[in-house]
Amino acid sequence: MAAVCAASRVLGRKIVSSKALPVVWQTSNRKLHFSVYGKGGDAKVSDAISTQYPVVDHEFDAVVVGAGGAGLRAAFGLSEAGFNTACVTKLFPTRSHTVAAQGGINAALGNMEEDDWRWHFYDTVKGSDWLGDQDAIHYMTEQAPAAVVELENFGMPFSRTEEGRIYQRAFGGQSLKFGKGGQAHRCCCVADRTGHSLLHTLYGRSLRYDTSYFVEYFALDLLMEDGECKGVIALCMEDGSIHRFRAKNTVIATGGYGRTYFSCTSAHTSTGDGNAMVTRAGLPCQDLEFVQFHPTGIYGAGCLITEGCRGEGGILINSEGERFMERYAPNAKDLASRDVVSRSMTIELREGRYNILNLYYNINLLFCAQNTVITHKDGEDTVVPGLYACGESGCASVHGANRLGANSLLDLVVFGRACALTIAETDTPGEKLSPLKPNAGEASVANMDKIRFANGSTRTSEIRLNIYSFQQSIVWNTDLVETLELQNLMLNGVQTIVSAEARTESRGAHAREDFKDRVDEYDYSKSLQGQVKKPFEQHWRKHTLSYVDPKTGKVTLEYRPVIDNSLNAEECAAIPPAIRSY
Amino acid sequence: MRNIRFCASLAPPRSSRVYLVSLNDDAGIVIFNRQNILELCNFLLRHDTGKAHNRLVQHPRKMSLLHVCCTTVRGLVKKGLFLESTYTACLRTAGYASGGVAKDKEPVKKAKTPQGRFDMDETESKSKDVFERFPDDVHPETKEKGGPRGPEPTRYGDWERKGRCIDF
Repeated sequence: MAAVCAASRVLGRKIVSSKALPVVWQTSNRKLHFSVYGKGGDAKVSDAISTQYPVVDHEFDAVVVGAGGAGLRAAFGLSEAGFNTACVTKLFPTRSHTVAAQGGINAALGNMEEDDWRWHFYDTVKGSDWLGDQDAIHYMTEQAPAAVVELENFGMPFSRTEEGRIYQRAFGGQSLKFGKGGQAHRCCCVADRTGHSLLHTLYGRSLRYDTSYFVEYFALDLLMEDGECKGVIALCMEDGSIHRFRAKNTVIATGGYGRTYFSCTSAHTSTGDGNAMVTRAGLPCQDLEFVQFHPTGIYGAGCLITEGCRGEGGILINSEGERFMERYAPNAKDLASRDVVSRSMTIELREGRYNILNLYYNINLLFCAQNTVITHKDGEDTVVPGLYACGESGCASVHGANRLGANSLLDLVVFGRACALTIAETDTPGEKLSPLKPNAGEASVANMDKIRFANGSTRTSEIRLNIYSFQQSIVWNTDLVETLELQNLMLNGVQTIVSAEARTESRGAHAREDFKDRVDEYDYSKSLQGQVKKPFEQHWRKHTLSYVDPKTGKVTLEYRPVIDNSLNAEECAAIPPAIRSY
Repeated sequence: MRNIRFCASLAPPRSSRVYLVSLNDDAGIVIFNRQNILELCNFLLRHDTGKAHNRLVQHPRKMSLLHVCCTTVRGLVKKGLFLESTYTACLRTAGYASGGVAKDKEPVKKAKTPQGRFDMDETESKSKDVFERFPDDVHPETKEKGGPRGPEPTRYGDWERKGRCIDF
């Protein structure tokens, strides 16, 4: 009934105006459907931004955007440390895309055979094709066993060996003794639903702490002032109210942007909102061109077929029924390595010998995209105060040019916890917040308003008036949220494209036909003696930082060197670059 | 009643009431008792002046309260549509017990979808598990307890399940 009343009120006003005037209604008429949890329920309503959009101001010590694996871990890590934390998420926590992960978490526990985290470190550095920052990888692999044990103590039901220790299995790219000792068994799983179990364990654990969850709040933008991040502005999808979360520390854990691709394995909600927020704030995103594809996927369906299908006798056929791999790899044929197969398929596609309907396997499925960064470069790395990122949207550059399977769930928990620890070190709970301009976030609201009314203003036909007025309601306007997500996807997409075009080499997940080789500062396939080191501008072993000007859509690129030293050279020696071959 | 923009008619089962929901500026829910509908329609037709009017009609205690709110604005739905809907609603209520006494014979069932591939027997609806459980949930060879069923998912280097690659 309330909805009908609200809708009819909207309708009535809309009939009166035929221009694109925003609907005017008194604030007092609208019942705002939120309740403030947690301590300090002093949310104030103000119309400091605009009278049409009443804004609710909240104050917290820390705000986490996103409630997947990384977001939850950061949120309750902060609550545990005594911070008054808010977790703003557009999905219910257990619906985040982490739930889809089936594979496990890598950790050098040494339950199946003797293992050392330094070997895991080596595997990850090599897997990243020497684009990963070795200090971050050192941190992650060293913390991995502790992180897995912590999860197990939270109640995550890992599968067990006979003795009751966590069962570990072999997974891609993990070896012993720095690559020389054969396959390592490091992957800890929970049957075939590790991600699901991880998320539910973390969610259950987080309920012990008094984190305030703001579920189904779509984060619009960061509140930046003087280069400092002072919080987040979000739209409550349920009742259309705008909320400003002021906090000294903001953590972005919004996940990846799989949905920029037509055929992908990501959830419909993987729209890179955090990346876009950061971009609009004028900060760079790092290494967006490294997007993981899989060669045997079903076009449009968004599922992948295991590569074992080739190993078991499957044959790749083009639309003419020809076994085309024979032409590209006469000896290995269908059993050629993945990148050879992918390249052959691309050529076949381009020459028109494909048939989508006929289950032609297409190289177009995204698995995991990479990264934003919080450091602002002026020739050097500087930190944006108050802003952190973790998980798939955050880039400590652990994965570099290629993410190894089972390392991504590890990345979530380790860096989620790391964010919480760093904030706990640098800040204390209950600190007074620096002042924020009263109209902070105005631009986001203006943008949202523009999108919301973009279509309806010229409609005069009375039948359609009903439909569009409904769509323009701010309450549960999923169309509006989808449009905002599309804006975010486009920002991510354009950066990916421009970065990828600029990188004239093939490294890890970024493969180009015109530049097939890796271009490093030295040619590592030969001996280093006598070689001249290429200057920074001429090689590609560096991170790409991309900025977008939201008004013009122009992408500018800058570069930042890879960190080649580990956290502690005595504990763990850095791995010098080499050719990556398995 | 040209001024009511008609939206929907609801005739709940076992009820002799018809709810006509209309969306005006002040949304009104017009509730009629079947027995009075025709009377009301005649009344409304007679008084169709097109002008704004507010009426509260209270019916004797025995029948349900007739609460009519109608306000103006622009007429959008023709009279015919309104009457047609009330007629349909009437028919529906006519099928129910008259005089407001509900007979609960067979509850009104939703019509089943035409027989097709989605139609399943109740007993079959429980999804069949492709992989059988191991006894005691322990894998016979690897002795893994609580692990994934079926063939080893990582045997091809990625995480494979039912032929699909889920993680790699």
